[in-house]
Amino acid sequence: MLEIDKAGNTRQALHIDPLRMCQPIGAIYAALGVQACMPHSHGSSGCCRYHKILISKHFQKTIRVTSSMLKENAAIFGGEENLKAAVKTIFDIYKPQIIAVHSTCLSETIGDHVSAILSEIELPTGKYLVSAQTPSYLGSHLTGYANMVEALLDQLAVRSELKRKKCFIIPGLVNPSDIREIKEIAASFNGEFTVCPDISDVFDAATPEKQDEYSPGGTPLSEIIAAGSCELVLALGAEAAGAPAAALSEKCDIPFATLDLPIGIEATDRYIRQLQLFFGSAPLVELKRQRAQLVETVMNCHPLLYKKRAAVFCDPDIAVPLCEFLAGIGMAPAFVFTGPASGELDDRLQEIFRRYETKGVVQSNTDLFELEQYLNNETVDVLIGEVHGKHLARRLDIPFVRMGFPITDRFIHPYFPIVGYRGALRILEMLLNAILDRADRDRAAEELSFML
Amino acid sequence: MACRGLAMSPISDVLVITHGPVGCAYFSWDNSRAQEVGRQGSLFASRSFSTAMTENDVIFGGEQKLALAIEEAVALFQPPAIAICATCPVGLIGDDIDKIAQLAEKKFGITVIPLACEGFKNVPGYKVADLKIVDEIFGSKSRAAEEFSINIVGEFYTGKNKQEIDALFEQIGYHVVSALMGVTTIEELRSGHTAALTIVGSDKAIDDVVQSIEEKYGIGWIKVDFTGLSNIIGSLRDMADYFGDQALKERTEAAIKDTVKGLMPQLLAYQERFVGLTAALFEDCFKSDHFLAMLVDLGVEVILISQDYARNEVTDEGFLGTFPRQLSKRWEEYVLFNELSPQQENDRSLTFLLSRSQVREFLELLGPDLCFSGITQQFEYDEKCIKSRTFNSEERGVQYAGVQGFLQFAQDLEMSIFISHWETDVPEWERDITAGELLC
Repeated sequence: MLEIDKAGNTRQALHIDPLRMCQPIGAIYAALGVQACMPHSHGSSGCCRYHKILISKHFQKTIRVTSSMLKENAAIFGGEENLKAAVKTIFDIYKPQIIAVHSTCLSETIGDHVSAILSEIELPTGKYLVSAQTPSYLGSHLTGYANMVEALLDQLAVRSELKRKKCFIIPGLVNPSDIREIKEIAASFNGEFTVCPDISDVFDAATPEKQDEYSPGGTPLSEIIAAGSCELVLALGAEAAGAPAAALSEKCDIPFATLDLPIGIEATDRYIRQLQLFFGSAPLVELKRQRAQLVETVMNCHPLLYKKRAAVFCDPDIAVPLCEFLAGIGMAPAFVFTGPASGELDDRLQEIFRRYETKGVVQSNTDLFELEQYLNNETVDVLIGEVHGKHLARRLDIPFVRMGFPITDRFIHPYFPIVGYRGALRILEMLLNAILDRADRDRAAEELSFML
Repeated sequence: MACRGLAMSPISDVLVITHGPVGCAYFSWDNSRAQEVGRQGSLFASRSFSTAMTENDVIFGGEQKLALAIEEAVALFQPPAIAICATCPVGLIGDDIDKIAQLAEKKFGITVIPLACEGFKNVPGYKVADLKIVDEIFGSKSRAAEEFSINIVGEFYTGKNKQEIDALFEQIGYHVVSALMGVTTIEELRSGHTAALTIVGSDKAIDDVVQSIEEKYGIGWIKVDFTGLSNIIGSLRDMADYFGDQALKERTEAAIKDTVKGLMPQLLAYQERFVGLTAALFEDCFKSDHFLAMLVDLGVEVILISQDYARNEVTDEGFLGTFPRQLSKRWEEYVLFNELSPQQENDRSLTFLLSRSQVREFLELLGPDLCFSGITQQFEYDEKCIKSRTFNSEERGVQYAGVQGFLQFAQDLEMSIFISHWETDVPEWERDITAGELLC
């Protein structure tokens, strides 16, 4: 019963242990990456509350999100009044520079036209309103993230004929430490660039104490408005950043490229190469040092990881470069399970498998239970994924490396990156620790050694 | 989602299907706190079941998908009962979950409970679920009524708390029939009507439910609170008084004596450590009540209870500040000077409506040793060098109810006082950049 049917999955309707969240949480995540921005959920209070809790628990830090608190009467007569009143109250009390409104299942189903309602509001000078459509019954949290970033760029960026040698980087949904790493690599070229959304110094900064205070981080509004003058748009992660990059490219007539999140050696190489070609500078000493250190470590430890089988259940944007890294260092990403992903996911992974002569089961738009059924038939050496794999790891007694969003049962992890060469080093450490801890646990006392 | 998380997930043998988009099921997934340690059948609560509605389902209706999902759940897990939680879109497009539930009951011969707990409903989800259970599950199995049998209504009856309370009740001679929002099974709930008393200890607006139990089944109820030693003792005595049985009263006093005796050495040590300590509470009203009770037991003086529920019409925000009369010397002058008149008063305390700046001034005036800052951190405690701490026990997976919870609280309080100086300390190298001697 709990093993997978050899004929394949027979479930049609019941979704067990989801691998995806819904759009609004992605929209909130993105909106918080804008300076002095208040994310606003146009829906019932429950939605906003749960998103807030999950993000807060991932970062172990309080965040603020406002809600229209739609109730029964709004469901019947529409939520227009609530939204208008909310916007006024938010500007009065919390004094943000911008409110980023996203819709929910409720407001989408009753047919509230959020952007039309917002256009009727008279804005105080210097204040902005942006809205994104994010019904939860479509796509995943990554879609919501993409929709919110696209809305910000589409509704704020101004087309400019005057271009300057500046790169507009749109990162996917990652931790603040990853954004720092992305920025640090870009900064090493001494050129101009903007990262949007930028959650560093937001999710890893001290929580503001006053009601109308905001974290020091976030992309400044002026940078978003000036996006039209950039010469290149760089999306890092196809699912979360691809669509907004394409939209900005079209709106402001800027060439764009979609790269993987720079996770692992090759994806980081490609990111650096792209920046190098754009800024036209020589290879950098510090990056060379980091890469050499990483490669040396890989050469030292890869015998311990060779042919170790991994089951990966992350966001597709993380899964692709991560599996490339795993395959590249000799591991076998035997199962790659993700939430909804574009058709490219399978092609990309199959190409990686061919390149490194390994095989794996790739499933998108699936759930964790199906992975569990597969694993009941043939197990793996390590699980890599977000916190909800915890029960799975316990049931099947497999070492578990937490990666991605959300990780709500551990501290400090958002402060260390998984992107860049340094991030790859950390991934290696996490994998080795998990696998070696297990090996030590399973060894008889007389077999324990202080060496490997 | 409050329906699934609070009310349904502690019922360990019910498989809950969230009929709606996947997010609703995802965010209400983790309900481990509601599970009893070591109880069989908690298989379902570690999983998340939903119909993962898509746009198509919203347009064309999700009834068929729900019916199929129930069928698949029965085939995979054979649960004795299934609950269906409705979500916003389901209520709006009008899926008839009652009909689907009835059909499924007939088809599979199990109990299927449809719950109209859409997120936009004015009635909170836990109440929808509990009323449904009282109306339809209670009374569906007859069972000989036992002496001193009780129903428990409240979130406190979960996890390790439950073990402790069970032991205490067994010693006194109470028999727990079933629990709402606490750990129980569907079988236990079926004979919920046979209890002689309902005890209510909830932080939720749940009075309708206990009244409904009283009206339908003639079961009386009393409020209890198992947070803080005095509250525990008071609650046990109230319960014994309700039954009025002499032997029961004696067993209650014996149990209280045992509890106090076991706790005394630690309690005295803590009280000694906390002598002269003052605290201010900025938590919501339920938490404030609990913390107040425990702080009083521990000998800590609470000099201000502030809640931001009251919205002042003029300033758009306001705080209700409660001050104890016995410490009136410290705040009397300010009150007279500012011509504040009390909103409420009783023989122990006075409550004033205050503005933000007035609360700030009070903080400065009273200088509490520790602020219970609440989850929203409304004041700049650090600037005034006041220690503050969020006492959110759930975040660390601990509970403050029961005797063990009380000790946990005392320990948390102790560590807050001794660790939180990091918040207010400024390192020497930042305080003073010129003076000082080089070590060499």
